[in-house]
Amino acid sequence: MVDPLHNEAEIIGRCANGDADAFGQLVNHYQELIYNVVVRMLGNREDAQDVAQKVFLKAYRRIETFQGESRFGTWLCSIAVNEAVSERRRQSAIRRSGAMPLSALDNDPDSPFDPPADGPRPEQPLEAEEMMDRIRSAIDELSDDYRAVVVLRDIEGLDYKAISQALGCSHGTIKSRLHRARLQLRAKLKGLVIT
Amino acid sequence: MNCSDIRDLFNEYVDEELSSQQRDLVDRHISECPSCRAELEAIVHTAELVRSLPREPVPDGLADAVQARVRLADQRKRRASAWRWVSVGGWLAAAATLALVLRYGWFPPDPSRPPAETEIVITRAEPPEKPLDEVAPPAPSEPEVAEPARRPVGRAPEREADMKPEPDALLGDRARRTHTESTRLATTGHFERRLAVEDETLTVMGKDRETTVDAVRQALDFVAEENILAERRDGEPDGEVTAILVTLPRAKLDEFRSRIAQLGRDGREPVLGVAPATAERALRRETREMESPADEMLEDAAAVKLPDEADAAEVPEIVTVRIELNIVGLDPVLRDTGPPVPDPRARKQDVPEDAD
Repeated sequence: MVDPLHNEAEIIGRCANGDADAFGQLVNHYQELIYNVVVRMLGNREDAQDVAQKVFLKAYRRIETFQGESRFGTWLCSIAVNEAVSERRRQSAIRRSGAMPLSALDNDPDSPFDPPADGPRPEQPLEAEEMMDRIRSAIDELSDDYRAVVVLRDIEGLDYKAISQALGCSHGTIKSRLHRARLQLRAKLKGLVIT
Repeated sequence: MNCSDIRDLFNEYVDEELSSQQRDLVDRHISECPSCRAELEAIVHTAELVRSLPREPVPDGLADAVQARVRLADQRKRRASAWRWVSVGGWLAAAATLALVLRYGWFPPDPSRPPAETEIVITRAEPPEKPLDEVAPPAPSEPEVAEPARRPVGRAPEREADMKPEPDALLGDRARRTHTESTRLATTGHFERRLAVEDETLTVMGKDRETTVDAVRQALDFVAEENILAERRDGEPDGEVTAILVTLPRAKLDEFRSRIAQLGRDGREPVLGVAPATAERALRRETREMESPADEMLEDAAAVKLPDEADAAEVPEIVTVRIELNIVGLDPVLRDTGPPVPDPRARKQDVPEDAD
């Protein structure tokens, strides 16, 4: 989890008064965290950029509702998870309707995870890349609730208290979801060994 | 504690959420229980696999893009609050004011000439009240009461002939779906000019209202603030924006169409597609007319498989934002008006509606 800025409370206060430059400092500080949460929740880099922008825009519009009961990064994670889940549901609804989002026209429909813009990384062994793909797919196949706890805990390193604040669930619920999510991942990733 | 109790603590053990006392309990148990130790190792291994995923590098320009959207949102918020009071009535008044300003700006009053009447004809297209196939063709026995045919969207009326009913069969029933409002103003000079106001409504479909409205606002950036007259909301004053009313000089029409046609083509935009309003789209399909490359782009966008109104009810996640466009242009051709022209509406009232 990213440490807060040293004068974060003051910056947030300025943002609440409409200081867009101050908000820029928060965006620079938290963009890596939020982008990674969104990418893992969506399983898609192309949509992640747009969703990450929406997360920050929504945070800016609602920043006066941030009361400091959790860390600002946790609050942002909460918005990021909600936005990503909404986006997945929208995409699912569009697929059910038979329409294709315009952004999908340029993408390979068979690829659940688009290659990075700068192309493949040939220096990495193929086995490692395949393993990463399997891990990504396994996370992607989890339900939204399970995926959220796995992303926030195992990828972003939030503790149980922060996860329960971000997701609005009790400590026991987080513990239970994490247990079940790891059982599912264990079954999907059986035989994989970290190289 | 038995094996089941200890295993309940494994996830918290891996995540370092246990107290030191509980941790000691687990350590002691797994040192003596091979099956529980294997179970714990499996959980650790699964967590390590997930944690081995590399971090995703943030794309260049993400922070800049956020800043741009934040500033735009601030700008639009100020603009929306400034223009919230403007109503549709204000929009029509603005069009009439524009006509007067242009009139007096080009031809200042000449006190040596006797007063005469100048007619300003405002032609506004109306959406069809019935589906196309239910609209009866115009009565051939009463050609003089037929009103001006709707011109293909985006083309200026350049001659008076353009304002008259078109004999073309393609446009026959369209004539019945338009009406003409005539306003007579006492001015000096014997000239007539026409202020044509055409309505065009486009539907922008997006993933959610907030970002779709933002995208439309960005596309309308080139329009002067005073020409964006109002934003309709469902429930004043803080409801969601459902439509944006814009008055556009005809000279800006091509740029407008180009920008709107680009909506949804940029992968970062949250817009799924743009289509003319249903009636207009049906009309275009019927006539198979293409006015310009920009029109073709609009048609392309409309051709993307999008839910129709009926489907939209089943897919509530797709939102629509309407752009209600009023294209304003002044006919450059001036001519001597001669004697006053009878009001066609007055003549129409004399004809029974059910006359054959």
